[in-house]
Amino acid sequence: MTATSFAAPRPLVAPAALLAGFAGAVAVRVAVAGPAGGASIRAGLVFAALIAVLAAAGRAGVALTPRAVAIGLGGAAALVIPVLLTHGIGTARPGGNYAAWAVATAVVATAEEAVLRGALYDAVRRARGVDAAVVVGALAFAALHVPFYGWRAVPLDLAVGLVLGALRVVSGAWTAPAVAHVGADLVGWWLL
Amino acid sequence: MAALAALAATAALAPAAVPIYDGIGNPDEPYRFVNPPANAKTTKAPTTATITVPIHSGVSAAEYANTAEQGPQLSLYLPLGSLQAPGGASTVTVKAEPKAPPTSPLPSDGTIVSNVYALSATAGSQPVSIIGTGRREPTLQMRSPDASQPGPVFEYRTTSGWKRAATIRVGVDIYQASVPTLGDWALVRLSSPESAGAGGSGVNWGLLGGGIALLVVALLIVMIRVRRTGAEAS
Repeated sequence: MTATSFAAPRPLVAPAALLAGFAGAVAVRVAVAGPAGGASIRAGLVFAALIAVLAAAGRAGVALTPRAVAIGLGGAAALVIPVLLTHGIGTARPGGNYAAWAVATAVVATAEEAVLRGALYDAVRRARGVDAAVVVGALAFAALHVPFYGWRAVPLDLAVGLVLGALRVVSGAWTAPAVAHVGADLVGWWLL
Repeated sequence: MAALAALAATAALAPAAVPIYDGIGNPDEPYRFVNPPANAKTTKAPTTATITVPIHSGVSAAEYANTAEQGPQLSLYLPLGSLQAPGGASTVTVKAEPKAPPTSPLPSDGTIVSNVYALSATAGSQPVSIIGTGRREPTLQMRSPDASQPGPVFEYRTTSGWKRAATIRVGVDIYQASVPTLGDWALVRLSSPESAGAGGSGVNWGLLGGGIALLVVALLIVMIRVRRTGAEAS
């Protein structure tokens, strides 16, 4: 008789806890924002701080290499070009508070990538593999938008989440999708 | 490549310009007026929201229509069975077309601050009316030209003038109402805003407490798991 051993799948406790923590942080953001919704910079920064703590607890290491930056910049272009082609460039954007908005947006986007494509990605990958890690991160990313932008945003944000997950796989670091995410956000100001 | 293909497809098919970013919501473009006030910025013309609603077994499907501004100046949601489908019709065309406020009649309790949107539904050449009530009643959201408070309220035109609709504020400058009837709808800033009932601000303390509790429990679990994983590895 031959003994056959199977590698038991790692438990999903850590990914589930990270997702629950992320959901809690989203709830805090919604609660703090009130009617201002996604436009509340205060709520956005509170949210960023909370998920940064979550990412740190999940040991999301930082690796900002030239390669990750280059991949991230390419990813930013990939995120922006389809929207640019389909919706064009805005001509009447208010420009007064762009700097403050840009800083806050970069902080929030970076924190989101640290937890979604950093800590959560690593936890899901260890438990269920790379494909699951990409999909779970994309689903969480899309779900995050629902309280602020409604269900209409889900298909596109799900696709964006998959692209950001692919950047994580290719680069091996969450900093690449962070660069892409921040870049797309900042360019997004000018897009219709 | 699959992710990029999905991105391109969803970007092309998105019903309106959808935020591709996360983080802080970027601001809306300036309001597009049909008849701009003197101090308004020059903009493109406002757009019409149009949707073709399928009819299955005499029941209208759930659909929604957005105008194409960023963010949409109007969004109309039609729940399942909200429209009276005429016999033999397979589709109903629903439109929300912007037009300038009328010269008369005007609301008696305030000033129209948005475009007037003419909501219509037709099957062929036949007008279609709303039959849905309660959860099957259509929902209308409109963006106000500015976020100043107290905010405006919805009013719709009747044969005897303009009638106020129960209005809730669902965003910085976005307002929502149930739609019992098609026709002309607009946002009206009331002369006596204390009766508007469209306010709402501040922190949701219950949600805040629940979110923090969930986050703290999750953090504890994550830290314990990470510590155990590290111990096992060493």
